[in-house]
Amino acid sequence: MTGATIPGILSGHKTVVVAGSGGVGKTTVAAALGNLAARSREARVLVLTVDPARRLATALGVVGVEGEPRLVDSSGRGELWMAMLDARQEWDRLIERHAPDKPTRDAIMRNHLYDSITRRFAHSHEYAAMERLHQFQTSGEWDLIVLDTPPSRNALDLLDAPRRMRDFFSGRLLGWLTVPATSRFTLQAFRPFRLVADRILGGPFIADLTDFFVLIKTMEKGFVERATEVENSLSDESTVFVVVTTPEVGPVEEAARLVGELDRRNCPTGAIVVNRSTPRIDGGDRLVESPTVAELRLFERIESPELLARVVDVMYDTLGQMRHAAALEASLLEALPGGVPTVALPMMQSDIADLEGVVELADRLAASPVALA
Amino acid sequence: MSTPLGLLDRRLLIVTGKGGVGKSTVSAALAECAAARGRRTLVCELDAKGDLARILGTDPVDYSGREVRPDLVAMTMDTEQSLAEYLKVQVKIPFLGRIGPLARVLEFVATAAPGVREILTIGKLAWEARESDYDLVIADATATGHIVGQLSSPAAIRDLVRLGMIRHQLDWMLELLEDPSKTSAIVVATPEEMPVVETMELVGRVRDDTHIDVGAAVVNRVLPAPFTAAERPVFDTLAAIAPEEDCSPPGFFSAVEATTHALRRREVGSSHLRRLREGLPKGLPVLLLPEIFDAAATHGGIDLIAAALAAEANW
Repeated sequence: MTGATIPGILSGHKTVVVAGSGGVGKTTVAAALGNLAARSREARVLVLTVDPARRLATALGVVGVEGEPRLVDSSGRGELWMAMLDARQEWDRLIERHAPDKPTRDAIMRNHLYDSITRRFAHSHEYAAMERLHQFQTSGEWDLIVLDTPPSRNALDLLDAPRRMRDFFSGRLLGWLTVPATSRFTLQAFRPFRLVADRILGGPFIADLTDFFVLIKTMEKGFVERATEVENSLSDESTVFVVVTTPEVGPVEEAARLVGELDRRNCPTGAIVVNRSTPRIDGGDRLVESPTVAELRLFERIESPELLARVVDVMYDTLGQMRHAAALEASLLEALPGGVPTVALPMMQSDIADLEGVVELADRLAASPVALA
Repeated sequence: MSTPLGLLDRRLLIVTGKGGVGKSTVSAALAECAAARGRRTLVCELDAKGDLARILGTDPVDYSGREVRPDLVAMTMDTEQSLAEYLKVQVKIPFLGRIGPLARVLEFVATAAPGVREILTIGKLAWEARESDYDLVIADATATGHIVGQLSSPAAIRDLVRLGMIRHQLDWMLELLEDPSKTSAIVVATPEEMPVVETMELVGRVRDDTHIDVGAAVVNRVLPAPFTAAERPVFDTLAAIAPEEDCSPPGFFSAVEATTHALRRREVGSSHLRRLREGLPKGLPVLLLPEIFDAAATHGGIDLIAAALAAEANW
């Protein structure tokens, strides 16, 4: 056991990055962390989310105003704001920001490859989210920002996005593709690739592609500088990571890997949240067996003993299954790395779809004992 | 449902759904069902997580694939190797000795050019379904966000690429993909809010943006009803007994608490399931797979799930 508490872990930092596998409840945990911070101190807290639970986002009023922070709760000592990012829109903002002039910007957005390319381009969703985070960080308006990471297979894509963006611009192939076609050296070096590409994809397509990247290349300076700043702010000590998992094999393995990778990058994991744990039910440690019908005579108000025996069997089976599931979960969690404060949140009986649910989850987060895994 | 669901007669099944709902479990169960019925089956994990091999209880599998059960071969997609294979077999470029430069070219082209990675994935699957001796190819596909891009990549590339040899290859690929007697997508959900919403959106998008048939929705981790209609009032009476009347056998109130929790979870799940049924196109088969308590936490359970799937589909 440690003296660490979730509010304590939050209070020492300016940015909390919530990461984990898809479907483990990152968005609700991020909102609960934000709520916890905003009620315990006079702070302006912003939760940035990319792909939130729709009903929750609608209830909190952030659908339809993508990219703009909305005040969702001011009943505590501080204020809780939330903003939902739309990847496509963020990408448009990037072009606006980095294009050297208006004609270039318009030419990029008009290019008929723009749409399909930007959806895939060097992990553009992750990068767009990171740039937006950086903008909010440097605005000076927020005491704490909680970033709910995009639903990507590998949460580290997010950390790698700035580097990938830099690598993309400094890569030789982009150079080859975008130097004037009259350069003899380039034609020589690029020839084998070009021949294959032409044969498979056809010349006109490659020409379209080249046009597009000549435009993109004009934004190199802005992109590379910003990517470096974004990258630095992540390894800053004011940033802490919270890894969310559910007590299942896949997510736990992903969480363990994530904590290890973060450690290797000198990014501290402040806490691991094990969401939707099977609740522990007290009442004797031994595996409970159904009582005999003789014992059941106590329940005189039930008329049919057979029916009663069946119902009681089901009840005790259910208890046994839940205990069994809880024990399996406990052994699974041993795979999590040691030394990281870990909190188990019991499965809620209904979905979290409004502020009330977020507050309840925050209460549980604050009340749950923090153990060193 | 009285007639067996025809899914196993297809050449290519693409299993998709929101992250964490059990796509790999459903893919493995489908593959087991097909192989057990004498269909020579290839099951391919597209995102290289390793879940598929784990669920099948076998060592990791790679691009070359391995027979893990009689008539069941498992493999993992690797777009780099798919490109190398394509260049060697189709374009007759023996690049294989120099995978390094090739990898760099691919890295660039795939991050830059629309649909390259997607077409290498779909192309390989279509190639196996058409050219090799498998009766059925099952793709344990990527999560909902990506799958429509993958499925629509042949058509998208056909629109963008006006010349070149890939045009001809796209024609047979689309013929396979867009024939509902040969290819179907299967969407997996769980009875929870986000998976249900995403599944309804996904089915809509597959129908709007591609010409690929949606063959079935599979709802995983459905909690079975614990009580019959006659039993439920008996439980309610028992649950109303107050602890101070304590005349109960040991563990009784714990059993009440556990059962109340399970019933509440099932009610929430049932309401999501209702929404899903209402939101899906009429006539789309919805198959329910039960929550198997140990399956999520341990490495077993796939045979139970395969049996449940076979019973639901009447195979």
